Order: sequence, then C-alpha cells, then structure tokens
Amino acid sequence: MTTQSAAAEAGTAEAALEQRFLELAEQWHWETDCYSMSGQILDHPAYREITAMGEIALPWILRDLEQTGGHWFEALRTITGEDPASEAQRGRIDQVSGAWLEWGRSQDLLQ
Amino acid sequence: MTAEEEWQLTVLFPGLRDSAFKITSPPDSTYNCVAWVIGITKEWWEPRYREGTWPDHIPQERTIAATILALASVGYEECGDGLIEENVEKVAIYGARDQFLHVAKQLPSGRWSSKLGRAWDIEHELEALTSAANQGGPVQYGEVVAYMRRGRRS
Repeated sequence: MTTQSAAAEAGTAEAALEQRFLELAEQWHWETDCYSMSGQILDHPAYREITAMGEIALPWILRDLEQTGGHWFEALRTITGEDPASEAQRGRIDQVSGAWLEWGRSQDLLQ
Repeated sequence: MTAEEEWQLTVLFPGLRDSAFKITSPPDSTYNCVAWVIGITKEWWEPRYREGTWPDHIPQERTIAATILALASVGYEECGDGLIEENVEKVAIYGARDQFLHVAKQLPSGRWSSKLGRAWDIEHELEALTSAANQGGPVQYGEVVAYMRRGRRS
C-alpha cells in the first residue's frame, strides 16, 4: 500500500467514525435533552459509545458542546484526564462550558 | 412555537397532544427544572453531579426525599395538593419509586411551568407530563408524588 492510499484509507475511516458520532450525538440529544438529572443524561448507551471512541472524538465533542451546550463534561474528563473547570464554577454550566472550550482551543482541537 | 418544535414536543411527550401547551423560552442547557422552580436561570441544581450545585447540608441523593429537603431549604413546605391558592406558589414533584425525575411550578393562572431538562421551558397541564400520559414515549418523568408550597414571590 502506498503512503498516499494509506492516508486516504485513514481519512475514510475517520469520516465514517465522525458520521457515527453524529448519529449517536443526535440520538443522545433526542432521548436525553428533556431530562434534568445526569443519571439519565450520562448513563445512555450513545454517550458511553462516544466516550469509548476516545481522543479522535474530542474535536466533534467540543464542537457539539459549543453549538448545542450538550453536557459532555464527563466524557471530556474521561478521555482527557483533564478538568479545566474550577470548584468555584460548579453549577455554572456556562462557565464550565467556557473553560472546556478554551481548553479545546489551547489544544488546537477547536477553531 | 414553530411547527417543528410543536411536533418534537408531542413526539417526546405524547401526553401533550390532547392538552394545551406552549413553549415559553428556547432551549438552554445551563439550568434545569430544580433551578427553574426556585427562580434561578443561571445554575444547574443536581446532587452528585460534578458540574452541578446542591445545598451542602442536604443529602447528595437524586431521591424524592432529598429533593423535598432541598426545596424546603429555599422556603417550600409540603402540602397536600396542587389546587390554586392566592399568593401561594406551588411545585409538583414527579418521580418513580424513590427516584426524583422532574419538578414543575404552578403559575398564577393555575397552569404549570416546566423546564424540560436542557431543552425548553413550557406551560402545560400537570398530568400531561406524567408517565401515565406518555406511555411509549422516550421521556418518562413518573407520576406526581408530592406537592410543596411557599408564598408567591414577585
């Protein structure tokens, strides 16, 4: 296999994975956006499958966080081992989201 | 309320199909139903959620009992019904077994107002969000298991 064809194959695989992410995220939003308790929100098969995708999903997760405000914080912490939000920001989802989006930009994961 | 939003809500909550309801604010993921009934629209109130807030002295449990204690800490007391009373604000707690699932607040008109998770605020009939009215739907809030009251605030 040439370098060029290997790169094309990798790109195709990533595109397929991104499509899978989009399908799962849509399902997760549809089935959990009306719940107020994270038990229902985070213990959802689509959320767990996205978390299991690992680092490759980070740009897609951060983009969804930015566009929809989805509570992706547990997935982000699990994948990255980071938590850019401070204790003082607990309860303030806007500030927690802002901390994660800033972190994503600092890592070149988000434009 | 757009036709698309009306369709979404009646698929998510089939119980809304046969009752009057309206969207009163757009989706907002920064506050939830507990914050809404307290009168807060900038915080997510939930125990055992790292990004949420919850009173320190209240059990860190997503139970009906803990929710009643949390609401008591902001001035609510348990009462027996959701009948409208002048200058009184009531809330209705939805749950299943001992699990807390949702809370709605009564409007001066006697109708009810709910923040639906990370989604919209709506005005609705109390029974329209119960599991009995939404069998087969994707969202299940259980049944109304408790009422609480406090003096209406402006």
